[in-house]
Amino acid sequence: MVRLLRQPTLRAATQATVFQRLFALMAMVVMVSLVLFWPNIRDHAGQALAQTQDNSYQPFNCGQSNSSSGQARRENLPLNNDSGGTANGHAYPCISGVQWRLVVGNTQASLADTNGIIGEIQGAYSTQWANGDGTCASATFCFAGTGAVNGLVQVSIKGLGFCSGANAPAFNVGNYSCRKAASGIQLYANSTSSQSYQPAKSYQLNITPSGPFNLGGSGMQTDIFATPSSEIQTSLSAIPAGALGCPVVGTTKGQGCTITLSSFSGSLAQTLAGGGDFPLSALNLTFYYLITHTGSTTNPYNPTEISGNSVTLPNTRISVGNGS
Amino acid sequence: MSGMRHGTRWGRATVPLVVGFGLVVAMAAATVNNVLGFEASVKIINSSSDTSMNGMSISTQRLQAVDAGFGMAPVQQSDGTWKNVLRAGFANATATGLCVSKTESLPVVGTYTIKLVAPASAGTITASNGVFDITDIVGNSDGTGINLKGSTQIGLATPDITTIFKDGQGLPYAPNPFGASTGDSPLDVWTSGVEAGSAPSPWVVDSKPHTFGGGWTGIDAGAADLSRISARLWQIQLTGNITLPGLKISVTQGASKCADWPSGPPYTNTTKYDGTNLFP
Repeated sequence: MVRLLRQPTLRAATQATVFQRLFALMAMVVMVSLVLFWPNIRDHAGQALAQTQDNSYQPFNCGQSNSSSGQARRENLPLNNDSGGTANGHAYPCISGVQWRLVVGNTQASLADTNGIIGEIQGAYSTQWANGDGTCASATFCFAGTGAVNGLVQVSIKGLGFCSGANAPAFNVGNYSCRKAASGIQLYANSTSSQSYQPAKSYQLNITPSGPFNLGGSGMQTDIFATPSSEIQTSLSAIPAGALGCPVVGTTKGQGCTITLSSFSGSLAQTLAGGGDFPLSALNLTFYYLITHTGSTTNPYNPTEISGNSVTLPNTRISVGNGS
Repeated sequence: MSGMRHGTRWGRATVPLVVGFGLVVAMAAATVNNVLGFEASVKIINSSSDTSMNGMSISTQRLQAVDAGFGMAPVQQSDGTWKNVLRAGFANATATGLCVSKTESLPVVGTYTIKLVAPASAGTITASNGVFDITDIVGNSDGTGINLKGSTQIGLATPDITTIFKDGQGLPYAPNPFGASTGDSPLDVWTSGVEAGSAPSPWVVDSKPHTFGGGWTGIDAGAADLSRISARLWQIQLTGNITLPGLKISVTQGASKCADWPSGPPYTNTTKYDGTNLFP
């Protein structure tokens, strides 16, 4: 202010003119300040609290059975991407302990030929989950209140899609394309599988698409924390060295190769898929937790991450039945 | 003095003045909206409407919700018994067409149906903080069906699902917005096989049993887009505002349920899932 008044042009001006100019200057300051500090509470909070286990995003008290305070049972899960790298994101779920099943086809059946291709996995990377550097012990997957499981495999994929018919959807997996519609897709959670608490009156939550559904989409990544005994069946020809290579990683089933997730971990998935996609003829997946995210460094809880399709269930019935 | 211009150059100053003043006014309005959560709306179903009803049906052409969730939960019915339901809710939603029907049978009066219909042609329905207890929901094939968007989590304990903000205006989220059981339901059973009424002492905290939602699983999504859905409904809880343009309430003799979705203009869906592109 003093320096402004000492400038020759201002010194010659009347007092009123100086105030007029200052008024104009103040208006500009107000405008700039407002642009800079425009209230955007939601975005601001999302940026400030990214990558943290925070009561703002996970406000429920996920405690232990003998304590009503703390977040002792909340997991700390580093998220990955399908190319074998970290997605730099974390999720902090309070896990129900109820197993979810995704069953399509029969992984133990012999695949007659490539006409059995009913879907694809886009990109894949899996690892023996050994983190858990949060409040739960290393490699321990804690459940709400009580109970835990060890030895889960973290499978990170770009997408999982099922066919609606021969050559439709029009995608190619290596030398393969859809050969028939995926039918009888079962996605359900049965409370009797819970290693945590179990409701006295058991239930089964059924999500039943009458046609193909897909998991993931453009710009999305999916992390699945599944049991090591979960199985996928792919075409024998999709395995490097074919019939010779399958016994190394799985079990030959006719023209198919059934692989458990325990042998799928590490970079094997990348090797099998040649760094890309591979066809799917059957799936038998048991998982405790699944999350879709953008694979970015932003917090997956950030409300800006709502644009991408993550789970598409066309013509689907969701029903509640008895679990027993 | 010569060659020297004095006074305010109003032509130059007008722009920042007007813009600055406008921003001040706009910021005040934004502050009211963001901080106070003020929203002008007609409350047709007022706050805390909690109607326990069996055998209800609900349908809509399309429901688009932000901060949505689905979680298993035990609920007590009007006869005192407990039932497992899928509790679905959202922070904010818009809908095209809505029908809710409830059939009752009374002595002398007989069977009758109360039906609330907001036709699709009447305009967009808006609602906030809605919770629905359902046991059966179908998303039809000629729409997008049930489409979850953004970061979706499957396997959470139901009380860990987040929808609304605690104070209605921004983070933090409200804990356990569905009011799901954390151990105080007779349907909660401890791993030792003991039911909630006689929970073993290590699990009783502050005179209340605590299971932290273990055994009740759910899905949390950034957003949900449900088209042409119909559902069997057991309870509605609308704590926020709802606008139902063109609402008509009717009472008719006999049993009647909502059509699969309310009549109105044809559903226009630009993102119809036709099976030609798995990863659009």
